Amino acid sequence: MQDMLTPLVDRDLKDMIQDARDKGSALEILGHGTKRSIGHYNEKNVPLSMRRFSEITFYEPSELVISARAGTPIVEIEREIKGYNQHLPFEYLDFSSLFDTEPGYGTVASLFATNFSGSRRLLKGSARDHLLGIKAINGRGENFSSGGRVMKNVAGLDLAKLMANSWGTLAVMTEVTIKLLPKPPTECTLFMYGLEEDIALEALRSAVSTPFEVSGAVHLCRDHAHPCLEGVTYVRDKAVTAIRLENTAKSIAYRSEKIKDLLSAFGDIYYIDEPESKLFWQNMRQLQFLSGRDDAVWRISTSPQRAYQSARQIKKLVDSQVSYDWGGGLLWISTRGVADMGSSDIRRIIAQAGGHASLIHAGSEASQIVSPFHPLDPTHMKLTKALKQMFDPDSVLNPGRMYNGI
Amino acid sequence: MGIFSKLQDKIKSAVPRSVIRDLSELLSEDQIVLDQSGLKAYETDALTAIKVIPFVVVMPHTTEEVAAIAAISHKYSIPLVPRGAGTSLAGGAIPLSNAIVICLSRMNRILDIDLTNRTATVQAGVTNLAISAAVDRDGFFYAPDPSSQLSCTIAGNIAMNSGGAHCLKYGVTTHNLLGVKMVTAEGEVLDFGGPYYDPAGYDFLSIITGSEGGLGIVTEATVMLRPKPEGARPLLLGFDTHDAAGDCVAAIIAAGHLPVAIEFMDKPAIHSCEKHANAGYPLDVEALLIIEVEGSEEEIDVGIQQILRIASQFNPSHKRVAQTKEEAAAIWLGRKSAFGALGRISEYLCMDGVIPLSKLSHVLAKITEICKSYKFDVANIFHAGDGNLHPLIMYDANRPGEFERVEKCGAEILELCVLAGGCITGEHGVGVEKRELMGLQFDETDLYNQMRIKLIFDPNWDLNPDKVFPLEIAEKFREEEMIKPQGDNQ
Repeated sequence: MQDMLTPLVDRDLKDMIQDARDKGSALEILGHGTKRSIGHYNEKNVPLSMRRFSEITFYEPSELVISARAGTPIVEIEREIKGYNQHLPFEYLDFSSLFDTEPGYGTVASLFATNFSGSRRLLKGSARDHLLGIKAINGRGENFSSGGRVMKNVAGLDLAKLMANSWGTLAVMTEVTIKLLPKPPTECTLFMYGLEEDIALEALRSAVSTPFEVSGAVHLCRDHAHPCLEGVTYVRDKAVTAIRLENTAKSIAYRSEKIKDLLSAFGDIYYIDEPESKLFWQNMRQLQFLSGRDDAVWRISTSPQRAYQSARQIKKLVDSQVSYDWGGGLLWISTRGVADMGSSDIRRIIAQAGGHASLIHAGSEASQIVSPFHPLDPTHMKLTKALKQMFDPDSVLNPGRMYNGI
Repeated sequence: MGIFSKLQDKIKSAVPRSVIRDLSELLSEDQIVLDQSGLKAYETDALTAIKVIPFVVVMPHTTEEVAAIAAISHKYSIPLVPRGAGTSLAGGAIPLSNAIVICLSRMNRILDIDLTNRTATVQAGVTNLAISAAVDRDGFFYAPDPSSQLSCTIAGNIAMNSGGAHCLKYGVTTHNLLGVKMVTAEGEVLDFGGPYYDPAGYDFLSIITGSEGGLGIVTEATVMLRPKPEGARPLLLGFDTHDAAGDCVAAIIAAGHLPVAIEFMDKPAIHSCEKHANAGYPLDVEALLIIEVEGSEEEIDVGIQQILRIASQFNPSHKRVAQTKEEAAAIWLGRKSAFGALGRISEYLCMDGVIPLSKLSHVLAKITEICKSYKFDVANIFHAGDGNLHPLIMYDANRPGEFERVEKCGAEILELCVLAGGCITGEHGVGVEKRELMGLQFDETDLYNQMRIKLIFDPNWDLNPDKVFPLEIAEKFREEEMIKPQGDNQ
């Protein structure tokens, strides 16, 4: 393994980028490396960690805004904002149990570079939606910035949000500014057990179409449900459909009754409040339902309307377990013992339905044979290449991580 | 002079007659405006101080027609200026004298409403409010609500990344847009995103939203629909000082409350709105907050009580909660017709700066000072929850040189916003109005990184070419980084 570069200030980073350009080499851009297993690994890229860019540079609780240098640990941000009863509303995913790494790591910029949002995305938006501004250095070694500390800003092109889901292939973020939200006072979850998938999805659809601000709407298949229900309920051997409400105690009491009335025809409904409700959604955020298995794991964004049919077709062709988040708009699929991890069937079916499938965990199979990110059509690939070329003409930043040639 | 024609020359250059021939072969007679009186209707947008008669206006019905029009513009390398309803306050749709203005208002069909996905797919010329109206009975709405929502189009909203009073809770256009169909400068039709979250690969939607027609012409959009709240009720709080009102907003947010809207008006704004709408605004206060709370009747009561409790620390001299739907509607009518009400008194330049809330009283005092030094009256309307400030600077349009003076005054105000930690535009966009002020917020490298993206989508720099980027910097950029001229310059 090559020695890790660890710049401390912009000048170091610029020198390292210049050095790579001069030598014709390339850099692997990392924070703490918690999501290093996702995407193609290119052993030729020299690892560069932004972990020493670590400092909260600005926090104004009354404006719901915080700025931090790119490598600031997420836990440090959370510690700081907790004191003011605020949180990162997009419920970022924690991959430590899936990749069997130590929990509690991860840097703030990586939340945006990878844009993995959890269950609350349904109501509150994605990580990208909460990125107000960035400072960054592109592959030409140029410092640039976009956005700022205010909530609304439409001057020029929004290069900050463009960095979301770009996996460090366009520029290295050096500082991010994030919109926070007040933490809801309390929460509860309504559980339904053993529903058939199509019935469960119909129940979720009904719940998220109400004015009651459902902030989590998931259906876990029986296999996936078990580890998430540990310590939450006694029922563990059935599929579970869960609907979360977050607000004042009085409000969620009222709203949960309304939703119970609405969904009573679907089956028995069980009300769970804190702390068990919190534990369940923490398990979701930590992907406990997928951990400890040797399966390949797919994360698929698609339209809720097509999700059930797509999952049915996939299950017919691939030995797989399917769970749903985002009220049906996000599928988590684990597959076992399939030569290409189900890639060709899954991607064909999802392409027909609209959406995209990412291979998050390759299990024991080699990920090199399957593109981790959903292949782009030729038109989008052409634009993607052009964008890469504009920001990083010498392909110094994370080349190959997302796509071949990007 | 650089190796390529200067933009100014491009703007002034004559248009060959064959452009009209090509357009006539493509479109029917009623889709082309060529006569001077017809063209006059398109000479400006809501930035009425600037007027330019375009060369021709075309009104396509379909994406295919838009693509063919773009191909013609590309073939002759003449500018293409997209236009929705022409409600831009920043001059985003102001024509060039040799431009084809492509007006999307006839593309007004709602293509699909999918309540399972909670999405609507519409043609780009559909108005903002028409989307909400189409799903109102089903209990849904489209959240961004610019004041011009009755007439502004979704295409214009996407171009400017429009917001509105209620985006404190629901976000602006970029947070509510899932997909677009877009025609490039060369006439290629591209799809980005769709009825699902977080598209694969680079987030092209993030740069298309707010690109002011400079990357392509959006012809269809898929937007998120949200369930309507059970109810909503505004309350009014009047204060004797701007400070007290600003501190009250900060205290509400710091206490963990995020009402759906918090609007601020200063005395001149209160008076002109009250005169226009009879909303029952108090006339003896220096600052007025309209705060809206959503939920069930009981939830609203609780929310309002909590806000009143926090507000009491700041000694409001006026408190009133809307008791009926009519009263609530009147309160909002007053606010939403503010621009129109001011417009009856005087011509005005509407600014759109954003500031950190903590700087509110400092900035308002400075704005008064700046306007005084120019001898202009000013009224301030402010989306207080998110720091978006709209000073309306009143001036006499008939006096020669006044517009230049009011522009200078506005520029000073925007510079003040940037120095306070904010930005030059929160929801109206840059257009021609703030083009030369981009340097307040961005250095040349920042702008180069943005312009390189335009070059990918618009290699000849034909799409709305005189908007957003300062002319001199854009010219320098093109001389340095445009690889070769494309298309057949004739």
